[in-house]
Amino acid sequence: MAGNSKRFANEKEIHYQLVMKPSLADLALGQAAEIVSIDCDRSISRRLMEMGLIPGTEVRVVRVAPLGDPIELRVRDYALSVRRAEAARIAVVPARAA
Amino acid sequence: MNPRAGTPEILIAGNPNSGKSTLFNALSGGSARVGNYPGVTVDRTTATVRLSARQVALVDVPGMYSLTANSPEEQLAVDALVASETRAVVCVVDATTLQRGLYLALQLRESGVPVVVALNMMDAAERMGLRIDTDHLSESFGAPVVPVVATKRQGLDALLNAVEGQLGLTSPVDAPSVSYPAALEADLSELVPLVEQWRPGASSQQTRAVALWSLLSLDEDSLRGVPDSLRIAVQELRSAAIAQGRNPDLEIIATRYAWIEEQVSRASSNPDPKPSVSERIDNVLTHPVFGLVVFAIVMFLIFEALFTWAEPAIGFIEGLTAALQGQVAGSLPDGVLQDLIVEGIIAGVGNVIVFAPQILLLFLFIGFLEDSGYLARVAFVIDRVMKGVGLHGKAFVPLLSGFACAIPAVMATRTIERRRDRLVTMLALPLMSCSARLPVYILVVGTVFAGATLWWFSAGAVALFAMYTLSVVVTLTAAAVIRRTILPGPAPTFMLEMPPYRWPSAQILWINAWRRLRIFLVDAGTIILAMTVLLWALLSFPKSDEIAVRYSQERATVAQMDLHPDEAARLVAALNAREASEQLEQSVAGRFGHALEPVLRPIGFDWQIGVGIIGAFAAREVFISTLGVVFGIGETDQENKPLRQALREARHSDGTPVMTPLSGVSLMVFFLLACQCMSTIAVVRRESGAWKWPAFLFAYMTVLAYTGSFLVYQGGRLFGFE
Ligand SMILES: Nc1nc2c(ncn2[C@@H]2O[C@H](COP(=O)(O)OP(=O)(O)OP(=O)(O)O)[C@@H](O)[C@H]2O)c(=O)[nH]1
Ligand SMILES: [Mg+2]
Repeated sequence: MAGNSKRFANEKEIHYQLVMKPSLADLALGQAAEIVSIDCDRSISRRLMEMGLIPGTEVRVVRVAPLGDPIELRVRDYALSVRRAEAARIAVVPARAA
Repeated sequence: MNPRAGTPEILIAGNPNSGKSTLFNALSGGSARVGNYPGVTVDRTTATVRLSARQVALVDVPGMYSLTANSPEEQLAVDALVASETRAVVCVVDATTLQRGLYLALQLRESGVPVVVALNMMDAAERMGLRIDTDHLSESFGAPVVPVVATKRQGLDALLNAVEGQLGLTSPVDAPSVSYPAALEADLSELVPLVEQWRPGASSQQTRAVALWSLLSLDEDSLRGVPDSLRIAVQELRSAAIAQGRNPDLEIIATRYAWIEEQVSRASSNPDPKPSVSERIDNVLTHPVFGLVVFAIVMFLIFEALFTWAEPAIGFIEGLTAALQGQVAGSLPDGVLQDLIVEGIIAGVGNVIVFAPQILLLFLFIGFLEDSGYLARVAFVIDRVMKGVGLHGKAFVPLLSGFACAIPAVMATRTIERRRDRLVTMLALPLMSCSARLPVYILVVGTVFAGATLWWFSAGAVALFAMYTLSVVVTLTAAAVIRRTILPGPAPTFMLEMPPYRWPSAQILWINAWRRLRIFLVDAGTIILAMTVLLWALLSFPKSDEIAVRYSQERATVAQMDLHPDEAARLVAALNAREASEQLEQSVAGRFGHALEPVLRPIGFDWQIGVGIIGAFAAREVFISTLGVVFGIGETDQENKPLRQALREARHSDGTPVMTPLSGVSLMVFFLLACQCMSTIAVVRRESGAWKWPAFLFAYMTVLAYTGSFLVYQGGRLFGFE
């Protein structure tokens, strides 16, 4: 997932917007995005929200574990790691490359 | 549970890693007492502190992100809040992650309890270039906000003054005015009458807070003591809301965060942000290559410490125990009392203290990893592997420690947050091949595989390697099975904060490790001591007078013979050993071993090994000394030639040898899989909070061990091995 998306950034983005909702798990390393919705089990969604991941919040994937999962996010001035399974249920809109 | 009911209590609450324990220790000066919350094994640390006008009890509450609760464990904080002793809460907020910390502070304020916000880590915030206007925050939250640096003891006086000020308040300060959406307010007003029934004396502000809490917490919860009418009302309101496309959880949380964002944007600024050091450290420590290398080195160090560094201390304690036993045996007359003291009580105390070095070392290590922030990275790096068997990344260190000893390893499961994950880990890890199994393997291998080779390896080495591999496979499988059967539940998640790297304080590491050790010595120690005495009684009684008389006659005969003193001493020692063996055979344990023989034959053992297994319950390595007594050899260790010889010469009643390569492997498998360790039972009892878990552990491991040995022995015979 990470790092190989430079060239196809645009194509991918179009694909995301038309075909599927992009999720946190689809983000490239270092890419910023805004949360759109969280669709995990209630207790997990609630925990994520109470930790500050709310629709409209900006997040960034800052690291991927050596074995590919989990991933580390930067949100509201702290670092949180989640498994890809949860990240895939957090819909985002990628921010334009800065 | 509360030792001093009536003393006003001040809770120290806050996000995990916000510095609660550091602040607690700084304020209490090490006068802490550790207790337990009823029902769930979470430590409850309290300390008495003198304020200028009165005495109060500080309580270190487990870390939390919110008061919302789903499980009895999360309910602790809420229960503590409504406890009648609670007068105020110090909410520790990490100034570097202000918004998330203030979310909890806001929830606390809404509940109506007097709050003092300790804005901690101000040193780190300043290094990052953050500026925070505490006056503005104080005003908007209706609570004093005091900047502190817990590690440097800065701001503590101001904090205590603020607490005293809150205790002296005559009327409560109004909660911050957060305005929730109209639809949500309507939901709340439906819940209010039900809350009023539940909590009759509550103020309108408290009632509103409980209604909010119920809406956010209830439905699919396992909370205790919540009235059903309230739960049902919440369920109905929630489904009605969802049908309209609303999400009450989101409405509540988003409104709170919006309010907080507004306050924070007014109160804090960072004109000149500095890059964080943690990022750069992490670029190495979680790097795909270096990250794994560092990980391997750190884990190896823990392993090495538990195995090698603890060894001299363990040897010293064992030596001391033996010396004391010798001393007492020499100064007391022979008899039951002497035996009780020497082999029951002193041995029992020794059995407890002998774990101290490993427990201290492991907890110093874990404390360092935890407080420095690296433990979260360990979990991050290895979670992928643990996920496969339904475990949390944080289960890795306890599992690894299981190779050394299950006792500290079970205690180390405390670092895992969720009780369910903790239980799965502690029920599986006693299957890791601990160091006490090694002497048994070595004895067996030396007895049945001496000089044998398998291809171009020595057969013994192959057997040993197979045991360790098997232990890892079985442990992980057991974890996966337990997770799916005994302890099913919502899919485990990871969701872990990666705290910034910090240099831990040596003093706090020591205080914490020492506290853990003390809990073990007192709580698990009493169980271990009692079991040692019981086991001693089973192996010693009843005593046969006939045997005693017969051997004293034989000794008298030896004394009358005209022998060289050395020769006479040798003969007497041999007589003593044979007497002990005969006495053991007709003791309760010996009879039990005989009675078990029909069950033991199908797995290749006889009654003598059965007695050894019973004795080994004290600790696996005791198997060897018990066998020494059974075979009338006296003092032995795993390298002991006469014991190996005696084992090789042992015969079943039909004349076939007891110890063959096949029954040897069967015996090793049995020791690998059986819960032959009362200390494990005791510590699992302490850490799980109920006898049913160690009972289950013992039962399933025994069944597993018997089945495993049966398959090995009978399967081997089918294939023509002996
Ligand atoms: N720089 C700095 N570090 C601090 C301060 N207070 C605590 N720490 C460090 O923060 C880390 C966590 O502190 P703890 O006191 O263990 O935090 P806690 O809130 O008790 O954590 P949990 O019990 O895990 O919830 C430790 O490494 C402390 O040394 C502070 O004021 N400044
Ligand atoms: Mg703590």
